[in-house]
Amino acid sequence: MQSPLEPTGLALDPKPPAALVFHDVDHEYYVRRSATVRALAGIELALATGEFVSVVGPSGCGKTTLLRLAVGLLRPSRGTVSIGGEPVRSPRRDVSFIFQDAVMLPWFSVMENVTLPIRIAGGDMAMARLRAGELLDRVGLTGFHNATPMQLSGGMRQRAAIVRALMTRPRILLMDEPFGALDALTREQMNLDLASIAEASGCTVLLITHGISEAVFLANRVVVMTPRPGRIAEMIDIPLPRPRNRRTLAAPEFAALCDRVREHFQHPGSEMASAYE
Amino acid sequence: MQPPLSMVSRLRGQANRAVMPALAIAVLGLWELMVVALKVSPLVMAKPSDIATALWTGFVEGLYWTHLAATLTEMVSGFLIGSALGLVCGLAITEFGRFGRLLFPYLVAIQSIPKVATAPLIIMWLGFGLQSKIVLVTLITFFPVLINTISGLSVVDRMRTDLMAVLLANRWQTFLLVRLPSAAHQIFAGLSVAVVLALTGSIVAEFAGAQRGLGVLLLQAQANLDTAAMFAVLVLLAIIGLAATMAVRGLERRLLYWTERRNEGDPT
Ligand SMILES: Nc1ncnc2c1ncn2[C@@H]1O[C@H](COP(=O)(O)OP(=O)(O)OP(=O)(O)O)[C@@H](O)[C@H]1O
Ligand SMILES: [Mg+2]
Repeated sequence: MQSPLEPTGLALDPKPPAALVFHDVDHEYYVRRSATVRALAGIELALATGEFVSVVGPSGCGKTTLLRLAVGLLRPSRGTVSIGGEPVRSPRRDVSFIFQDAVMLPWFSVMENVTLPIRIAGGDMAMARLRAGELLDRVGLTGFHNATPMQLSGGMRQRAAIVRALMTRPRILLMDEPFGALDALTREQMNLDLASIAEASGCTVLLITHGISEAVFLANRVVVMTPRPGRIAEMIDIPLPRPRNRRTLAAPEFAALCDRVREHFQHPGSEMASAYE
Repeated sequence: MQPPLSMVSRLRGQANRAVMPALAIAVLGLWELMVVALKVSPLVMAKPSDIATALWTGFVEGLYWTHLAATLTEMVSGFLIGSALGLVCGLAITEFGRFGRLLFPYLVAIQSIPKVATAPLIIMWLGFGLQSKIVLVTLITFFPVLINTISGLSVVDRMRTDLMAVLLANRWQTFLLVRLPSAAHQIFAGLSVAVVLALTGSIVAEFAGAQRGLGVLLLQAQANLDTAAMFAVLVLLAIIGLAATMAVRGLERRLLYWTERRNEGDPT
C-alpha cells in the first residue's frame, strides 16, 4: 500500500506492465424493468503504465460510461476492468478523475478545494498546502489560492480541478472532456499545459475529448469509438516525439494523423460524421 | 466620465436612507391630520401622537418590561428548542433513509394543521405560566425547520456526491463537506419562517391564557377600550418581528458567506 504523498517511482520500471485493462467489457444501463440501454460492447483496451490514451467518439457512444467503469463508480455488465491486475470494485486512491465540469465546492476557497483529497484521506495538510501552492502557480493560478471558485473563470476552475486530481499523486488520471466548455484559445493553452503536466508526472492517462487535434496532440494512442453501443472502431498510434509543444502542432505528421482520425467521421451520411468538425 | 457603478449604487443607497424617514414622517403626519380633521372616534383609530405617548409611558412607568421579557423569553426559547429539534430530527430522518421516506408524507400533513389551534389544549395541560407558551412555540417552529431540513438534504447533487465517492470520502465526510452546506440555504429558509411563527405563537398562546406577555397587554387594552395602547403594543411587536428576522438573516449571511447576494447595494 502506497501513501498518496509518496512519489510513485514509475519511471524506474524497465518493462512497464499494463496499468489499466478493459477486457471484453459490455455495459448496459437498466432504464426500466426489462428495458436496458446498451452503452458499451466488447471493449478490449489495455493502457501501458505511463501511456496517454485519448478516446474520441460520437456523443452518447459510452465514453463517460467507460471512465465511470474505470474509476469504479459503475460495474461492467460483462467482462472485467482491472488496475494493476486487480479488478476495480470501487474508487481507489491511486486513480484520479476529472469531471466534465470542474465540480468545485463554493463554500471552500481554491486552496481548500484542491487540498480536499488529502483532507479526506487524512494526510498531512501543511505539506498538501505547500504542494498545492506550487501546482497552482504552475498552472497559472498565482494570486488565486484564496479566491472562491466563483471568482474564477471556467478555464481557471478546470485548471484547479487538474491540480486537485494531481494532489494524491495518482498512478492513473481519468479525464472526461475536461476542456469541453472552454473556448478554442484557452483550450489550446490548457492542452499545452496538460501535455507538460502529464509528461512530468509520468502517470497513465485516459482522456475523453471531442477535439480531434487535442486527442492527437496529447496522446500516445487515439481510440476511435463507434456510435452506441460503443465499440472500438480503430486504435491509432501517435508516434510524435515528446516533449510535445507548439512545434508539434506545426509538424506535417501531426496534420496527417489528425486527418486519419477525422476520416472516421467523414463518411457521407454516416451517423458519426455529424458529430465532429 | 461615468462614476463607477458601486459608487452610483452607494449614492442611491444614501438617497434612499434619507428618503425613507422623510416618507415615514409624512405618512404619520397625514395620519394625525386625518384623525383630527375627520373627528374619528378614538375608539376606532388612535392618533400617532397618542400611540407615542402610550409607548413612552409604558416604558417609563415600567409597565412594559415584565410583559416584554415574558414574550421574548417564550419566543426565543421556543424558537431555539423548536428549531434545534427540527434540525436534529430532520438530519436523523434523512440519514436513516427508508424510515424517513415513509414518515415524510405524515409530517407534511401535520405541518398543514394550524398548530396555534392547540393552544387552549396545551394551556389546559401545562397551565398559565411560561412553560405552556414555550411548548407551543416549540411545536410551531419545529415543523418548518424539520421540513426544510429534510427537503434540503434530500436534494442530491450527483456531481458533488460522485466527487466525494471518487475521493473515497466516508459518509460523515460527505455529509459535513457536501450535503450539509448544500442544504444550508434551504434550512435557513425554514428558520426565517420559524422565527416569525415564534412571535405569532407566543402571542396567540398568551391570548389563550397567561399572566404576563404582550398578548396579555393587548387583551387588557382591549378591555379598557384603549385603542392607542393596542397600537402601541402592535408597534412593539413589529419591532420585535423585524429585529428577529434581521438577526436570522444576518446569521445566514455570516455562515453562508458563499451564497451570491443579488442586488447588493441596490435596495430597489
Ligand atoms: N444513468 C443512465 N441511465 C440510463 N442510460 C444511460 C445512463 N447514462 C448514460 N446512459 C446511456 O448510455 C449511453 C452512453 O452514455 P455516455 O454518457 O457514456 O455517453 P458519452 O459518450 O459520454 O456521450 P457525450 O459525448 O455526449 O458525453 C447514452 O446513450 C445514454 O443514453
Ligand atoms: Mg460524456
